[in-house]
Amino acid sequence: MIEVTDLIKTYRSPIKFRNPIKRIILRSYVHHEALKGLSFRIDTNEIVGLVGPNGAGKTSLMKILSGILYPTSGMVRVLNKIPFSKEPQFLKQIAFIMGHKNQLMWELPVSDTLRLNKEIYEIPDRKYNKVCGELIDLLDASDFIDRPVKTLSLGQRMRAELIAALIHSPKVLFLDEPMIGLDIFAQSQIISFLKEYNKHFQATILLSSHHMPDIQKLAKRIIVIQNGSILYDGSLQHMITSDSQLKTLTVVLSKKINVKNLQLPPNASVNYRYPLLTIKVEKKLIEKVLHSLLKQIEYVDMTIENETLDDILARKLNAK
Amino acid sequence: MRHIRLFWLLTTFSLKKTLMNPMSIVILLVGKFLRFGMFFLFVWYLMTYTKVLSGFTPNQVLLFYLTFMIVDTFAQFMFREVSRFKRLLVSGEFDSILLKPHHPFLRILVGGMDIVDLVLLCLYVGLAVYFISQLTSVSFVHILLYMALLMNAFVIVASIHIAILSLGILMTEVENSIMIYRDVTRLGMFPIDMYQKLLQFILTFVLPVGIMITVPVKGLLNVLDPSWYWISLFCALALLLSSNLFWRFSLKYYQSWGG
Repeated sequence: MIEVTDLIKTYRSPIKFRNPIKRIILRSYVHHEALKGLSFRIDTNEIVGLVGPNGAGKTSLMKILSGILYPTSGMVRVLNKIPFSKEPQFLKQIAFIMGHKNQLMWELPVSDTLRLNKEIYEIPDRKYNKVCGELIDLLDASDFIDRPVKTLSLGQRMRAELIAALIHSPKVLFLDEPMIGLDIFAQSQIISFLKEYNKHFQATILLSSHHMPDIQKLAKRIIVIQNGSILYDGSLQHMITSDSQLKTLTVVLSKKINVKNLQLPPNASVNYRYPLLTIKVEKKLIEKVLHSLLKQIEYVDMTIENETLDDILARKLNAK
Repeated sequence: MRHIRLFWLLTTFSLKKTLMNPMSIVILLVGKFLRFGMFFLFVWYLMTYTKVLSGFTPNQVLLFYLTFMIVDTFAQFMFREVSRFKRLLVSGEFDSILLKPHHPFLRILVGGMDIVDLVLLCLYVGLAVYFISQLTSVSFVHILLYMALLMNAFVIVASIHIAILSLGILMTEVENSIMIYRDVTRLGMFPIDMYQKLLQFILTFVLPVGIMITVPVKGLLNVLDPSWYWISLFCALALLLSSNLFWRFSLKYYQSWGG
């Protein structure tokens, strides 16, 4: 479905001399390698999370996979096609949704953009009416479909954007920060929709987001990119269980305590504000700490949590 | 066929957007009529005193001016979207155009036809027809040749706009390129025979204003060497080919701004 081998992307930007005449005459460039020999494969119907800090190369990678950008070197095949050749048959099977950009016609109603996309993707009337109706229902968009885009809220616009991008039932979806700026209701609506879409259309989804809970809810596999190189490519669950080094113990106390008197391992981090006591300890010590703690405190509730994906990733990225 | 359908749909949407602000259409039209009227009167007045300009009579000079206006207004009518290309580039909206299974020119070159300019274009064509009918030595064949050479000029105009778009991708600069194009074409308001030989050469083979405006009118007036038909056809095809190659080259260096 998606095959990438030794992908390199280099951007060039002009060196800015102070002297404007020099700038014009001695036009020279500085080269910046955004992707440094990436290789991976994504199969049909997979949902893969693409994570990494700003400037890691996530968007560049998705733009190359969709055919917007030309790779400097390496092999890229999506749906057995070379994306940059922009064959109409290829473009009819993909969609790229960018959270901070839109393809909707600003002054006109959403329905006009849908009509335009119907013509662009040559969707027969019957299929258009069916898919459009399904998407409008799934995304609860019937109220605003005939309103000019400029009058919509961000959440409504994102939902309209999804309808416009998926009207041709693409097999591969590239989603770049699709939840940016959305409230939790809109986010959960879009997450359930994407799950449903993946199931219904057997679609492959590559999702980039800085919001880890979105990735956790959707993807089973993640690719972590930093400085244009792949840091991790594998199961999300495996990364959480194998890379998680700390456990967080949260206790709701029924009686005040003196923290200094608690007998805990020296490297445990303690945060106490009655009635909440939070202790972060190494995973291997949690049983011992728990056993000892139960003898020292009186409590009404207690939870033990793994490290969050954000924490694991932050440590992984900082270690590099 | 599909591209024609899409073109009409985009034109309908463009018209819909324009009609959302009727007052601006009125003001724009009044401004353009005034500018054209004043200059037309100026040329008329000038020619009543000089009688002959580079061997052309007042009516013939007005035909040069009207042909310039037709070519210039055609460019604005058809390729208005080019002037909005920078906004699409810097906002990154151009990305979503590249992802569509149609040629991007459908959107960024001819995707925003300006109805206001169509009104003016009709006026200029009407006036040109009137002045042509006043000429005594014009045959039907010459009128056909004039129209063919005008088509040739439109191909050159399209090629120049494609080159401007390509330059936009490489330099993120569009408005100034359009201004340079329009300033240079203004040199063709009058027959380029009135300029010095070196400038005539530049305006023919480097910046083909002469081929766009002077050659069609001279063809109409039957004062054109037949070799010029082939030269102008060759120029138009060469420009169309090279601007398309330039477009493909620029796409390879497109950096997709706006994140």
